[in-house]
Amino acid sequence: MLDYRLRAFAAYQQMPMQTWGPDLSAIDFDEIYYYNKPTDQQYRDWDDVPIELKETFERLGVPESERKWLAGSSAQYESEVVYHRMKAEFEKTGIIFTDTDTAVQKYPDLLREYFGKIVKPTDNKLAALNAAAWSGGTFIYVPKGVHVTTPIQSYFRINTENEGQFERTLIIVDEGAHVDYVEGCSAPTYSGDALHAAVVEVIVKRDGYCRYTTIQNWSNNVYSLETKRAYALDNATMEWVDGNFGSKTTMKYPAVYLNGEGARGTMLSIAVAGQGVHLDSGAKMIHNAKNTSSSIISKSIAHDGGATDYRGTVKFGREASGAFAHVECDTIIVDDESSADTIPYNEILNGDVALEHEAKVSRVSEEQLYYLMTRGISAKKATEMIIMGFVEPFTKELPMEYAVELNRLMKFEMVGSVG
Amino acid sequence: MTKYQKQDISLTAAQQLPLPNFPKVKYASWHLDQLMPVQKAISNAHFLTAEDVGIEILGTQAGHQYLPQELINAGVLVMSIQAAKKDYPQLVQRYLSSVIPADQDRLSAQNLLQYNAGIFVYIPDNVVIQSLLQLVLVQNATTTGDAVQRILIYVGKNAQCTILQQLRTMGEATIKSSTVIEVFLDAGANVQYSAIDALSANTSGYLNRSALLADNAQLNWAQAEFNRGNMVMHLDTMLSGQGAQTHANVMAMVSQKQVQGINTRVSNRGRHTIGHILQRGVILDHAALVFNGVGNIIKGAKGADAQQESRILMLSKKARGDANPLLLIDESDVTAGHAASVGRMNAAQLYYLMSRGLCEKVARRLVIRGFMGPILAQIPHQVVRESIIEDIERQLKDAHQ
Repeated sequence: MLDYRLRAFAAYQQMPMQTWGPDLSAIDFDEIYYYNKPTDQQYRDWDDVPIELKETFERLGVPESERKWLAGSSAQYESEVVYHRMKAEFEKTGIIFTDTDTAVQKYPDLLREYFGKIVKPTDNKLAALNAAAWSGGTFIYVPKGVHVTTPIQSYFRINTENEGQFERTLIIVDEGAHVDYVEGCSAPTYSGDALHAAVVEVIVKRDGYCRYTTIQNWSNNVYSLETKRAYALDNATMEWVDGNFGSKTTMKYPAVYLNGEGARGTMLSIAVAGQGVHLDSGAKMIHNAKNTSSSIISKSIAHDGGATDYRGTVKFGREASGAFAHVECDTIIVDDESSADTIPYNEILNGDVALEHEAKVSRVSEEQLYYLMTRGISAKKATEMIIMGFVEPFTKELPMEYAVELNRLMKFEMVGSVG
Repeated sequence: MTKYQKQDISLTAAQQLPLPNFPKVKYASWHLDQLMPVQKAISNAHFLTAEDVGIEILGTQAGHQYLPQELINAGVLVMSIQAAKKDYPQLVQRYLSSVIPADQDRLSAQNLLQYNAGIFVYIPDNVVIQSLLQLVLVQNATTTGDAVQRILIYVGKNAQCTILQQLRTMGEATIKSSTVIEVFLDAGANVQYSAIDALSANTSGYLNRSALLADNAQLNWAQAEFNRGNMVMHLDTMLSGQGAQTHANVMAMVSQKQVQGINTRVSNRGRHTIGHILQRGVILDHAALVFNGVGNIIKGAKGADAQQESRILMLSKKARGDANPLLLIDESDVTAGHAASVGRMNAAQLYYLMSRGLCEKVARRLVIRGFMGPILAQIPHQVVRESIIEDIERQLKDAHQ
């Protein structure tokens, strides 16, 4: 692993910073703390977790969910996972759910086979930095044919000024297995900028299913620059569900490489950008095999001077006969200070495919607004209802408490910006 | 008149400018920035005949040239750009580079410095031209030497006209082509601009066709791209004045091993401007076609509308087609949308036609013609429509189906 880190660091130093997309020149990589150790040991039982950490999580609702019905819950506070637990019955089926650091020591063979294979250190500069400096993150292995019916959760939180969080997540879904993974991210406000440069690798083998749900609510001084990529093999399904709030700049384009015949990939995302926020996100669907299908649905809202960009790629390779892709990106620009760009690339190298692409940018529909107002609803409430309706296809896909949290976040975000 | 920036540029400065950006098209190896403009006149070409209103430039020399007396009396000028520079230097000076700034990109700047043939059109305020105004550039490929041409069109306030512009090749020599077309529409002008570009398979080239529209001007483009070689093309419309409108209709057909990159961009700068892009592409054999559509609403363009639709029909498994519909929006009080699709021939339509007794070949042609229909319908003259259908048929016949 040390050797791997050193090689990745050498690659990082050689690679140029990407020039496309949002401006990243303000990041001072020398100012960032690359590792923070919050507590001395890991805790298996919630009662052992220090009270101040517990309070933070308490406010975020993590332990409650765990106690009630979640399959397992893991939380990354700064660079290490401090609390982590799996329900006993799942351990029996052979599911591994741990932090990636532990996995390196306990499951070296699995790690060696998949770690860094989907996102290579040379993929981009930030992936190289992550490969060199990574700590924490989630490791999940679901054995053949095992179905995890309730979601597995993680929570990541940046709590120190100028911190860099470089978590590394690896999910292996073996043949015919089924997993639903949910992660939340947040950070309180500090004056120094923080960097979140995660790498997520997912492999879904034949007939497997994986849903990966992320809700990020960073404070407005976090650069969130992530590389998320999944391989879907024969007849496998990979679903990304992605909600982005806050951050200073987010660049994130979860990808599905549809490498096996009949594989399916979907991306469902919302992005809400307020003052000082630039969310540059999207998805990539790379069709490399026959009869693969993909769907991208992206909803963005820009308000109070925020900027949301959709940047995506759909590619059909030479081998992708019979493949199908559907892309939909809708944006609402709430006021004059905000902006939104839609930058989709559709690259087709095979004549036997079908692609549909639609996008719409508009302000809150006056017709809808007036209709609701004639029914006695205030302008503010009406706007809120329209925006909630706009993001509904997204919220209805979330686990219940995340949907509630999202609704709360949406309302909080939009306070004072509408009506 | 709308303000514009203008400046001179030297050849060394031009060579340091960036190449124009054609996303997803690699064309640096075509060396379009190294031109040897040594075109000669062609003695016998005849795209236009006696009763056609307009001008034909054969290589570097004007061939057929005809303007009815009443238009001459009204002050309309249609002449070779060389003649215009001699006879009306101030007019040419005033509008040259008014749409495409001299330092916009390397290829346009080089054209400005090296062009040796072209057309100048000046239509004074309030003049309405009823007949079809034809502008034909024939590139001489009977010997080697690159074609560097420029068309400059000024349409005065509230003037109206219908233009058919053609780009053709004579001869089979391998040449490079650089064509820059500037169209300036003053307030209230209304122009229907159809273009048929059909350069030969041995010509690789750059085409920049840009227009600037003042208040309430209206420009409808209908472009048929039947070039057989490798081309990169810009269709750029700047809606600078308020209430200006454009419909940019583009159809393209590519076959064999050619590569064609088309950027169609509409910038909404003025309030209540409307820009609609409609593109249809058909790809045969190993060819590649890239549509980059850009709807750009600039801050302050309240009430602007930017829409685009791009559809690509792939008739071969080896084909490559990209439809990249971009929207860049800096204003909230707008409507914008895009739709794109890429796919193979509609089997249901094909079987329906065949079940009515048509052979597969004819049925395929009808489906293709139907696919091009929305653009063909935008072309005002029957003659032009027929000429385009001929071009489609010719290309289908030549393709290795």
